[in-house]
Amino acid sequence: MPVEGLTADALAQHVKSIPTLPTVLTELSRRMEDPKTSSDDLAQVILQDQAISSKVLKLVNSPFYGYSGRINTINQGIVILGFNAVKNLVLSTSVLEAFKGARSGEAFRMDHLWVHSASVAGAAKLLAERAGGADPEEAFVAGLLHDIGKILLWISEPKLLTGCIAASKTHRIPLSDVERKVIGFGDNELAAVLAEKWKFPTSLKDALRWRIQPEFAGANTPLAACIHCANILCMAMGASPVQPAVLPIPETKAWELLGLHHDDRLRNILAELPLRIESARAFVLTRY
Amino acid sequence: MQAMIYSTKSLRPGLTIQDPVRDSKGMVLLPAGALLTESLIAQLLQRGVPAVSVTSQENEDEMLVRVEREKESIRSMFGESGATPELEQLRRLLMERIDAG
Repeated sequence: MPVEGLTADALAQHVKSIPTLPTVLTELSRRMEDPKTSSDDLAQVILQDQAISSKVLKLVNSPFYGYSGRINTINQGIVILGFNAVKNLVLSTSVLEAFKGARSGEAFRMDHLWVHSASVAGAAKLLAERAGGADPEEAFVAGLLHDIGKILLWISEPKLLTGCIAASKTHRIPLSDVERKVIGFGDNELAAVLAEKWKFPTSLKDALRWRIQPEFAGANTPLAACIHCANILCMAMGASPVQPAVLPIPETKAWELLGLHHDDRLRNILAELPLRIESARAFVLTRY
Repeated sequence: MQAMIYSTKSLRPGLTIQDPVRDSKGMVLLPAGALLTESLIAQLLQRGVPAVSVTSQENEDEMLVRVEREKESIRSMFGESGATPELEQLRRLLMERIDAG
């Protein structure tokens, strides 16, 4: 039976230690809505936070982007990679920093979660590139952050999450189904509450909220579908240290939207996935 | 030939490149069949290549054990047949990959 009176919002309200994200992120989002904002303006915003700006500069120079050592300033990074790519870097760096202090337990390990999240990020980006309909950089960030609801649940109700994980393994039911039965909502809904609190873009909020049922994500269904299918593919290929007792069932519409129902498309993606996942892990885990 | 993905940091001399190593612009850094040396590994690390595909070093017995282990893992996760057409397709193609080596 679901925990009486507990909703995702209520749980989030009661968590005393929800980290706040740097104000630079809010300011960045606000400035990007103004079409007159220049790359200089955005660079000045990012530079207000030394910790974030030095991490972003290091990341834009990583082999992942192919400009190793050639980007010397944040402004240059914005000009070369684009507003959205740099904003996504700031966003994902901020969230990883926010959860840096979360401790692991026997049933739930933060390092395993981030390895899995990095894998899904790499897979989601590949799916977005092949299928179109979603921005690959945004798919990467959404994949990386898809399990932040689990982290919040772990921080606030570790015994509840531990119980759900155990029940999932014992009864061979997908974890999200167990969460809905036992708690009354899934960790994806908690992720959406966090995304709302942290003022994430609507596309990212929708992808996190609807990653279990992508067809309900409206205009952001392609992005939600990338996360949904990437998660399943990573688990199915044994690419994730977080191995479920049973695979979640892919949503047919999401599967077809990404063209995965064609054997050739799926075969090619399965062939390319291992290298993409390894590259994504190398990129993400240097900053974890 | 079975390909294994190795992170560049875990490479050792004597391994053979299975798929061409390319930089982020698609230029081939090392062709398929290249034999890795200390120097080549150092260059890959310097260029920041995160991972490469190398030819598996396992003998036939080791390969048979690995194949059976991987198939058992698939059977355990999917059951003998997928519960839905999508899962069945995924199961079938994963088994196909294992059999193809």
